[in-house]
Amino acid sequence: MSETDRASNRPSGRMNGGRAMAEMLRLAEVGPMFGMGGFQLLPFYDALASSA
Amino acid sequence: MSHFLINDERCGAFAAEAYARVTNRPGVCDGTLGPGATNLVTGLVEALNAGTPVIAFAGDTNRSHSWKNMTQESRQVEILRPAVKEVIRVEQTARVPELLARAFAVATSGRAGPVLVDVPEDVCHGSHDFTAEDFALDPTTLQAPARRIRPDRADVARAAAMLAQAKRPLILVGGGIHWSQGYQALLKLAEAQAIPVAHTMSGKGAIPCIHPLSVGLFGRYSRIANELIEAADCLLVVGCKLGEIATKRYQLPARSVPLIHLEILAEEIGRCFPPAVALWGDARAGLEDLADALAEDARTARAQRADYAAEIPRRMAAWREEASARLDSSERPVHMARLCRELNRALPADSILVADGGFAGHWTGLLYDTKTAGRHFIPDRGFASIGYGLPGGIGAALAAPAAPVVAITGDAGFNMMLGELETARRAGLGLTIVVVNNAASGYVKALQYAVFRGRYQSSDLVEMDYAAIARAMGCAGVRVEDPDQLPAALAAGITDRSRPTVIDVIVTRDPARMLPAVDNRTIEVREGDRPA
Repeated sequence: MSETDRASNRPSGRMNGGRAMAEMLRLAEVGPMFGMGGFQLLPFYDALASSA
Repeated sequence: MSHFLINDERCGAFAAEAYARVTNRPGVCDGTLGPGATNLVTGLVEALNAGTPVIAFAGDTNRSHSWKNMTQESRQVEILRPAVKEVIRVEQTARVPELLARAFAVATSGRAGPVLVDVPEDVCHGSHDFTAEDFALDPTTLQAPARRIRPDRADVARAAAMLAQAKRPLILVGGGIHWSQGYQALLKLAEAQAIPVAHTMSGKGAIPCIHPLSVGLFGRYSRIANELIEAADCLLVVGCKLGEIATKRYQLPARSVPLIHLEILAEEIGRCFPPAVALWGDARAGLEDLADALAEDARTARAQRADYAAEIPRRMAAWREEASARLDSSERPVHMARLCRELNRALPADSILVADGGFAGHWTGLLYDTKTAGRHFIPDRGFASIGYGLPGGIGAALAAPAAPVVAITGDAGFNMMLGELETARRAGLGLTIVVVNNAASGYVKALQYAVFRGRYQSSDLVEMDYAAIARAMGCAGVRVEDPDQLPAALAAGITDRSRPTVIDVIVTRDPARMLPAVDNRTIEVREGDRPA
């Protein structure tokens, strides 16, 4: 995405750390991610699920 | 955004690492608290040693209860610290975006590398009121190299003067050329100045292997490159650490030959071989500067080195002639050289061959030919772990969905990773996995043959039918016992883009003939070295 799009796509408001991680990775346009979940990072997984 | 469940976090790190190699963008993986985090170690060390940008997340304990024997708790940050370029521990939910931006910057700046982002449970689950400004990212840090630094101008002038005087200069290229994307700059310099190019396993694809100035692999295994290094009067080393395999355990090159070392990590210069001129900087930038400095006299240089340049295709043809008995072998079990020849024939220019550590990588490193410059051969030479083939193939296939991707792995390496065939199938990847089946831990068995007079201990595997295993897992599976079956098997694998194909190739079980150099019956074992 262009820098203008990236700036206008920034989220704001109240969110958990896992969602903030996912939002940064979305803005960075990362490719496929690989992992196996556990309780500690499940808010991150939850944010990925809702972004798909 | 896509996220894939993997069956072993080591594979997740390998897949992320291979994705990064194909795209130059950071690969991303994660592991949960404890075993999930510690399983990342091998893949992260590969990334560290190969200079690959990777961002790995690890979940950690809730800080309200840390160090009270929480389940799966360990000193995971200390375990992972030497496996990465930097550990970033996130202590506040509010700082998550800032520290992720930092992770990208570290992963892609200077010599790229892996970053561990350790996230305690309460930080991940806790909430904060963020502003849009909190999510600022520096776009230059989203791919490697984030920025480029040019070598000192006076050093470039000294190096250019040295190259200009050389009658038989040679360029030795390592994996740094890929990170720098310096292909055009290298080809321009090599062609303008008539300087042949040799490569390490990681550097394969620096220029096309079929280019008339390509002299192939140098170091532990070589076609004609080592002889040319011995006869060279000036060496330009680019993006290469000159480690054990590249130098035949530090025997090559001779210290008397003046060496120019162009390298992004300053402290690698002079670590193994003292350079006559050190060029600290980005490979592409340095090669461009050298080409510019030498441009004026390029016509004269080409004329003076015309015979030298003409030698290369002639010598390569002679080598091919000498190797033809192996390359064209119709013997059963299949000769590894014949398998490499069939890979050369079957794989189109845009394909990617992922080569597992162990001898699958050495054979293809020596005999596989890339048809164009670029990342078309991906060996895990950072750490040379076996097992990289399948997960590396998964990462490469996701990074280049249009390109045929073939992963070549030994049976021992494939045994490590069999569970990931489920991942590849679930992801719907039309990946081809060539299993070099010698029913052995081949490299170890070959060493036991050569050095321990055939006293084999714990180097034999049970004969397995990997094609049948693949079919039982819902993938395509082909068993190849005759080399004439290879073209059809490879074509079928490359064509099937809906599911993985496993080609189980039965190769020699004779430990005297497992390694690529020569027939090991005539091997010379030198004290303090190991046989090739």
